[in-house]
Amino acid sequence: MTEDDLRPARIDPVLGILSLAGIASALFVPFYQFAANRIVAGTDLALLASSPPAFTLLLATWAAVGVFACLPPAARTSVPAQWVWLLVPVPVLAACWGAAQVSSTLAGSDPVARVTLSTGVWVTVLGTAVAGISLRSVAVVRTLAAVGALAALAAAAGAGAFDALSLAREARNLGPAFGAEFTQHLVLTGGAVGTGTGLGLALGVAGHRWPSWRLGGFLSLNFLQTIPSLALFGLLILPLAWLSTQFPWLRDWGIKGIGATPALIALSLYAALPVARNTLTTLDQMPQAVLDAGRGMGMSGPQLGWLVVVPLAWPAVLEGVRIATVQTVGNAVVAALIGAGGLGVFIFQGLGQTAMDLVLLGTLPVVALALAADFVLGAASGGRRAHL
Amino acid sequence: MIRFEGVTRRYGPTTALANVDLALADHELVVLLGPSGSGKSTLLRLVNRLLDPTEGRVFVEGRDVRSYRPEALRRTIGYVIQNVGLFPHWRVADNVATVPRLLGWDKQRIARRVGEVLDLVGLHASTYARRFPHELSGGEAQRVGVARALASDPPILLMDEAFSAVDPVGRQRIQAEFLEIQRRLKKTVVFVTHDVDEAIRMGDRIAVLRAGRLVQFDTTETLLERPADAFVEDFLGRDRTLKRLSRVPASALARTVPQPDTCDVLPETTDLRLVLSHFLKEGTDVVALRNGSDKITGWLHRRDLEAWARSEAPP
Repeated sequence: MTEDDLRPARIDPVLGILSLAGIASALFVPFYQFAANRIVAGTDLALLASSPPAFTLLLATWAAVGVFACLPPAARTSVPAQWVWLLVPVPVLAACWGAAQVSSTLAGSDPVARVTLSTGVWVTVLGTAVAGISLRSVAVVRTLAAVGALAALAAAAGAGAFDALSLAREARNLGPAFGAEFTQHLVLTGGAVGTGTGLGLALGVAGHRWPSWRLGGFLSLNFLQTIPSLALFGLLILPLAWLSTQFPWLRDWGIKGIGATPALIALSLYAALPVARNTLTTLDQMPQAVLDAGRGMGMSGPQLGWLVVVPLAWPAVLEGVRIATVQTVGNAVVAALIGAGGLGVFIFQGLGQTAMDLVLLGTLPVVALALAADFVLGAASGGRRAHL
Repeated sequence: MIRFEGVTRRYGPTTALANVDLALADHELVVLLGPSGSGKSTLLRLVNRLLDPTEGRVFVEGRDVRSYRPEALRRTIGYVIQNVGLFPHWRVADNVATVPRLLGWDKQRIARRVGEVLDLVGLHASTYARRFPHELSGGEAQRVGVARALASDPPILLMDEAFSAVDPVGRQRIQAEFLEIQRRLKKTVVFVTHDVDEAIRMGDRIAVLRAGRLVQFDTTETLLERPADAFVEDFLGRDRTLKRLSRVPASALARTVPQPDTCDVLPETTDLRLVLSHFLKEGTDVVALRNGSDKITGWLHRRDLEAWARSEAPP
């Protein structure tokens, strides 16, 4: 590699392309759809036609990103340039602003008319995400931008700016059902991750202690992963139904062929693998010299475990829990098909009725949950790992 | 202080140690020397009961080690190992404080002691105490390892290939520093190594092991002069005479009769091997010796050096 290759490019390619794509989407791609009711096909609305000020803001922001991409590399990496990150959420805010305007003018008074978010909005969200990853900045600025943007959106939503959007209308139609299924989703995920973590820890420790168990244990867990979740739910229905007819008291505990029980069992089994694998790996790789030193200096077995093994293994185990959680948040969607509830209920209802807003209403919280779990658990394990 | 009586240790069908008898005096540094698989580390680990002998007994301070609780015994014996084994999630100060904490010392006493031992191994507490092990060089980490072993001021130190992971230059320096510390503290040290030069530099006495048997146990000088058998002779190498020279400081053979000629000046602590090397390289026959404050304290003649090498040379 020559020195030339190491120098940053004259124009930042990612930001340059993002800027062009952002401008092109604002000009040529529909941002919203208006329909007189839930059944009829909607008409596409461009951003400029929907809200000139939002259009101007979005265009200006992407243009600014483009200008930034063309700055000399030294300027792009300078300290003041980190504040450019504050621009990142602006396109999304602009798109939301446009949505608020267009929905209040077109559908505000008509309770069945609806405005749906369309391609342009999703392109903007995607572009913003990529820009956020690509632009370098310090945590303070990023947090400031993210919190500011979320606060602005929350305030706007609280003031009713989005009430006329179809998404909000679907949510209102669902009423308390949304909260209930959201909670159920959390319960399923939490229960499965909790059980799976316990199981995974036990399997990981057992595999470390008794290497002969390893092959069998991990073969079966790996094999389980290859079974699609829906099939695994199905496979569990039969034995659980049989058990609950043989032992009626099980039914009193809620254990039966369909519902939350088979879902929890299957999700727990899926969640166990990443935890078990990370536990086993980190225990296997525990530096022998460190354990020997601990023992040789007079730590008892429990002291060695508590003072040395647990703190050293903990980041890797937490990393396994993070993977398991993100995975389970998604897998729990499918559990709706066997009557376990959760946000999947809306997704499958929406798919059945070709009501995309309902699908989105189920999907967006799932995405948000997965991202939140990823962020929180990632920060927890990453922070611990930093100095190891 | 430490005594092995008829110690045998088997692992399944293999015998790691066969009927070893060995007694260490107080305050001496005994090297256990041998090729890998000779049982030297096994022997060391019998002392703090990381292993127990299959047969025979081990005594520390006159008491059978089996009469101690293993953890309690280990907390009274310093332990330094090859890859240092610092706890990566603890700062240097916490690492050094390990045994004092296990012993339940109070905080102030621990803090004071950590400063003292870091000072002892030549690391400034203000610079190093707050560092994590991954922020240390190999030599620094090894010094922290020594400091950690000395923290509770144990009378006995076990060192298992303690300096083997340090690069050669750093190793010589840390060996010298450790000898200096040992001169002051006078611990009873069991030092395992497979490095002959290290053994000769460090050991008051050397126990040579081969395939689990004790082949020879003698002072380093005697070992170099009269190896017990062909194995020891072979293991020590053909340059035993030079190795003997490396143990003796130039001041030992110095004459005080002033020499009229101008000649090169060397520190009086220079070992005879380096002095000989100097003679060979410069083609001279005499060097002047100076002490720490640059005063000439004597002269060393090549013929004296050669006579010494011959006189005590093995038959």
